[in-house]
Amino acid sequence: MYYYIVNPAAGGSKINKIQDKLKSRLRALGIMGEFVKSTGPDDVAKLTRMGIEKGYKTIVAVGGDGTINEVLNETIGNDKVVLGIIPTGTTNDLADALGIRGWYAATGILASRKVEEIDLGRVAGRYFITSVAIGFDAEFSGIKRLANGNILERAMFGTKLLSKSASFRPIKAKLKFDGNYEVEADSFSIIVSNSKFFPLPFVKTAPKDNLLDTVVITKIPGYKMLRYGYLSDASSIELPKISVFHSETIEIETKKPKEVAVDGQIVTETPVKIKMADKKLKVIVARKRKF
Amino acid sequence: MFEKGRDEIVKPGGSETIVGASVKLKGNLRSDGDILIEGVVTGDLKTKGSVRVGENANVIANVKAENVAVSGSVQGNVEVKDRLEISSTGRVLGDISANVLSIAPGAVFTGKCMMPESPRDESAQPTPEIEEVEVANEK
Repeated sequence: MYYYIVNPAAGGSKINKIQDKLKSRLRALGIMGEFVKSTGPDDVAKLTRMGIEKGYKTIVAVGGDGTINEVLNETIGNDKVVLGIIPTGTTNDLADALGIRGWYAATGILASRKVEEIDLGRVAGRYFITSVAIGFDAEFSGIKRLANGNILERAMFGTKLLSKSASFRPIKAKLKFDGNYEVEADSFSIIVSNSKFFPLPFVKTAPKDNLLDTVVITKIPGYKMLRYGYLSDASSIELPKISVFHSETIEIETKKPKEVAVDGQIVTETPVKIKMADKKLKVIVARKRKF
Repeated sequence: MFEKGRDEIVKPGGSETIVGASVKLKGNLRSDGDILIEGVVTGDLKTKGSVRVGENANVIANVKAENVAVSGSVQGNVEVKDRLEISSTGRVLGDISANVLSIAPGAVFTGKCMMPESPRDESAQPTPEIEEVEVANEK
């Protein structure tokens, strides 16, 4: 039996538009179950605990990366529970990596129930599944949801993006990898990835290799920041501006404390220590995926 | 031919470590994959894969790898299992050893060079050359 935890705020309340069609589809596939909706902060975690107590073996996060993160932090450690995903959020990096594109495709994938175990990372007492970000990606995560909103919200998104691109200053960061070597860089963005796939041919992420992939983007021109922020497109950034490192642990220090986004949500600030978790996550995946 | 050789040594992709331009790395970098350096590396570098030192890169470290292509500056010893290439803009100040060595015109290299021969059989005795001489019959 399936337990669906819906975050109605995800993706500019996308679920409101598709809810009836979604339930109809699930019914047709024979995987209808209990639907619950979060109503405020910490609600997703609470609802997940309730689902586990009721004995559900498949818990489906209906939302984006942030919603998935809250669900997995409650399910982890319970070997009997499998995570499912219906992507309706602003950022759906994990769903994309798992080959789950769109809510309709997600229902078919849930029904076929192919389960894989993937790596998790650990930071600030939490597990994460896609990435930890510092710099532009972290500061931008707070306004990204506006891009999927109404006309006024989209206009606000454009204005804030322009303003952020004009005012953003590179961050002086020091990164220590596995205690073996240190890197210093004036960074536009630092992304520590477990399963976030980058649209760059020389960055290969593997969610089952037991390693974290750290991408450091150094200072780039304002117009490239705009493109990066608006289209999530890093393909115009040339190779000399990009560094890539692989390790099991990373410690990141910055001159002044900077916000740290974990799976798209601001959770803590620097300095921060990130490492591979000793636990894995069971998740339903598509047959065609990025790994 | 040299350019083609360099491309063959390090192909982008795979689990590659990249030290971008304006990035400084200090310490012992160990890898199983290829390493591309466009910035500054100080310390020690060891990999089972290949290393490429870009034209504006500065490496102050001993380097040990399967293949190495140098277009920038390396101050340290370079120990290569297979192929070492120093391009026309490359500078190596240190001892090198490789199975195959290619140094382009314009490259700078200061140090000792070792190119291991095939292993010899130490127990074999040298065979003296025997010259056949015709001796005239004396009466």
